[in-house]
Amino acid sequence: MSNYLKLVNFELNRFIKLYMVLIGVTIVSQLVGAVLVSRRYLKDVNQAIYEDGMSQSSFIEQFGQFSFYDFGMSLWFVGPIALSIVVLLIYVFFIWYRDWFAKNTFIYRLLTLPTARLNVYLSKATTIFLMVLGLVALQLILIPIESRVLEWMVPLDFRNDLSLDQIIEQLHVMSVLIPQSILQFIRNFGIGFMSVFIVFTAILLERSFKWKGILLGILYGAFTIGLYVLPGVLESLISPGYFYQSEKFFIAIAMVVIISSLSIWLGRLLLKYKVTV
Amino acid sequence: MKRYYKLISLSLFTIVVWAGFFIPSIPASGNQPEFVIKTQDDQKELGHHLVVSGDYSDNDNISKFLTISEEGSDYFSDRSYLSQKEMLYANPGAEQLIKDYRNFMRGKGYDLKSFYQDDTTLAYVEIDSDINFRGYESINPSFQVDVLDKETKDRTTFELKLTKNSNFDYGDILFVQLKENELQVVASLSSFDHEKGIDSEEYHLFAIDVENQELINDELILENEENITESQSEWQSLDVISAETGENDQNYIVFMKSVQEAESLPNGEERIFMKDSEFIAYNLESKKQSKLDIPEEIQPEDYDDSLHLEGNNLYFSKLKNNELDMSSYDISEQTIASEQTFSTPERDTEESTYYGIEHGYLIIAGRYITNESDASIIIYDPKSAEKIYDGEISADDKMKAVKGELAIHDITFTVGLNEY
Amino acid sequence: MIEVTNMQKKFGRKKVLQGVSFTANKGEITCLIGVNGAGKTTILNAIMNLTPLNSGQVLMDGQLINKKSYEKITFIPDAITMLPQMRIKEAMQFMADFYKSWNQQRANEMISFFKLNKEDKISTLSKGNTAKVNLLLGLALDVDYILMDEPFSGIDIFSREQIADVFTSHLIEDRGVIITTHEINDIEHLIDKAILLGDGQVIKQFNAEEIREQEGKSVIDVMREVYIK
Repeated sequence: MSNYLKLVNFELNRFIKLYMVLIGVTIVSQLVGAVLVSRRYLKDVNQAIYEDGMSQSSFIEQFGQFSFYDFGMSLWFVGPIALSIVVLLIYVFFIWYRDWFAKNTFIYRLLTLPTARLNVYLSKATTIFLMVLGLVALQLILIPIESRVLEWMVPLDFRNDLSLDQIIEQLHVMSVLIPQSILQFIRNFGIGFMSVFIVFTAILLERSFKWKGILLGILYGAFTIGLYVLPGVLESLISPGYFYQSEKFFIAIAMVVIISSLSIWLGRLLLKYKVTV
Repeated sequence: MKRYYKLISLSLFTIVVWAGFFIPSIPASGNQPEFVIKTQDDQKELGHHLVVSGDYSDNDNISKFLTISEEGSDYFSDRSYLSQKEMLYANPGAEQLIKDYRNFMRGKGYDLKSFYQDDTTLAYVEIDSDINFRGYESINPSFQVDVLDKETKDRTTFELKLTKNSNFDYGDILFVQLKENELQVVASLSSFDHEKGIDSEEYHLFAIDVENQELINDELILENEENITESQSEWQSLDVISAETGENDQNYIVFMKSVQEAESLPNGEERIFMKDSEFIAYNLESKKQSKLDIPEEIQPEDYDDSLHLEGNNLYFSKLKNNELDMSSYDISEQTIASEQTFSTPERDTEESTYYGIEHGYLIIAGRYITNESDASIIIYDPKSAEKIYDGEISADDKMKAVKGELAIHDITFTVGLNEY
Repeated sequence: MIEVTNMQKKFGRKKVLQGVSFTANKGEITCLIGVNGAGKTTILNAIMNLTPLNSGQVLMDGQLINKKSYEKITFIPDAITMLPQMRIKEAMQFMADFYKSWNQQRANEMISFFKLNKEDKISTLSKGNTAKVNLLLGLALDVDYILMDEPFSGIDIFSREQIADVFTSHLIEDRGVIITTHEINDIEHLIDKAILLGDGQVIKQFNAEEIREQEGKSVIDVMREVYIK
């Protein structure tokens, strides 16, 4: 078993409790929300039809049918997603700083393991990636389940059943996190993972150079963003519209690879020669 | 190993769910039916080049864009992700150009009016300018010209500053034709006077010498002014009827001056009616204008009555009661050359008929095709009314099951159709 | 042998180390002596490549420190380097996972010697017991060199005695030990070599036994001579 995998396992286990909480909150909030939001709609239906005397068809004409979109826009659905995003964003920083600033300065141990220090960097990144993909996968299986719940709750006439693809398309957040093709997946998550590498390396710059390091970290972030948009900027200055969409796509992926490699290389250098406890 | 169960189970779960999501979506087709154009045996040549583009929708009410040919149907949504990003939605002409001349097409707009194409040459003309920070004024306008010799692959690219007529907000290319190394370009230059609320438009014929890379002529053809701020029930309109280029030499541009009136229909739509129409033909060679004497019966009343210019012939069409009346006016002879009536497929309303003139052929079909309707495509010679082609769009069984409907946007010929 | 040559280190503008050179041999206990802030911890950190040097070199058995070196040299800092929520047995499992040189038998020996309970969480241990676990994590590795930073600071007297006993046992026997402390009393009798630091440099380094035999002075005597002048 490679040291890298052992470290991934180790990092995962450190976070697993909080991760389980995120999973639990998502499942509970979304399932409960599915029931409650449907019930609210039905309440409106019943009030309009039985109390105010509206006909079924005019209710539907005026207020529309109930679909996953109505549920998907509610806080019950979106809340856990936002929470998870915030927690994971914080953890990108925390995963490093904890080892320096917690009571037991575990960074001493990590840096004196008989393994390449690069493995420390990569294992932390891998853990984050795995957790992100895992949460999105959870969402992927929750959506059909929640659709079933909506089907049980709301009668057919008042319902507009959407397919998984339609749901993803209509809920903007989902269409970013759950791309419709493998290539889009590579691009979206490629950019996301590249950003993690950039932040990691910026953190290591700070940990190597302290106050100067913060400045260096910010500069590095700005530099990589500049590098990423460089092809597009060059194109609009020199020959607008020169690249076709598919070419732009591959350029984006190439930049992701280049910038990620640069960040990893620099991070490795810092960990090996410059970082200090 | 058992200490790794969390890592293993999370990884497996993640991989299985993501794989399960992507893999089934690779054969993406779903319930949409396949269409194909079926031609009667003795008319194969025309049938080979027919392309129908439209939208298919079923009772889910989602419409999917597709093109249909003798080879079958090509749904836009079935194309790979990259292909979808690359290719253009509903502009097969530009798509073909990109396919054939990828490098030439870089950075170019996709309005086909800016292009001229024949067997040996592909040319492109555009009016380019820097936009004023206010956003609507053009500064330093210039012609961007790009000409490709298809055989030698030589490319001539240059820019010509518009010095004389440079005071306009918006320049639009309407027509490009290449004749003996000279580009004839008809463009409209429009400006909007904000203070007075007047929209003015000038139509120019430019001549560009490709070899010497200079602008050798600039003729003002016509101008029009419209007061935008006044109430809009009636206004003077000047419309250009230009033709497709590349097939034959196009000698004329036709302008229609009319008083237009908007009327609101009970269903909420607006219909625009035309009256007091004047037709002016402009000869591109002699640069002379002539007024055309068009009998009132055949003049268009609203935008549904169509006008089409093909070579020296101006076609006027009116649809009514399952019949299409089509007259042609020969501009050089200045007489009506033909008057014909064509039957159209059985339909509820007039809007349900598709017709169009392509390459000098009149194509008639039903616009909305369902399982029960007449899906025939019939092609006539518009002047002699001779039936040249008889075919149909045939759908597979899936259409019956879901009660789908195909709405036709356009029926055209692909490149490579020679004189039949 | 660990060879430190001309170590220079600045923190900001403060020059903490200005050319420190010394050697520490295997089988000997070398003690770095100096006041607080003299740079002792920095020297140990630098040997372990836990902090970069501005100049200078560290060789272990003639080679520069790399990742494989950590199977031959270990560092026991003054705070424990394990996750507080781990139980002692989990910490040991961690060490076993990553270090080929981990000797579980010896670890068990130390557990009973120190009278620790494997099931205890590190966060619940007293300061003395925490220090013992820290020691255990280092000593149960079959390494040639052990660096210890202030092993006795803040520990109660009984734990100190236990820890001092370790130094005379087989657990230390053939290994090279570099230890820093500013409380010399506890281990004066154990030291083989003493290195006195001041103003970022080595003021005096000597063999404790030789000095006692030749000049009749103890280490503390020498220290008084050097520092109180």
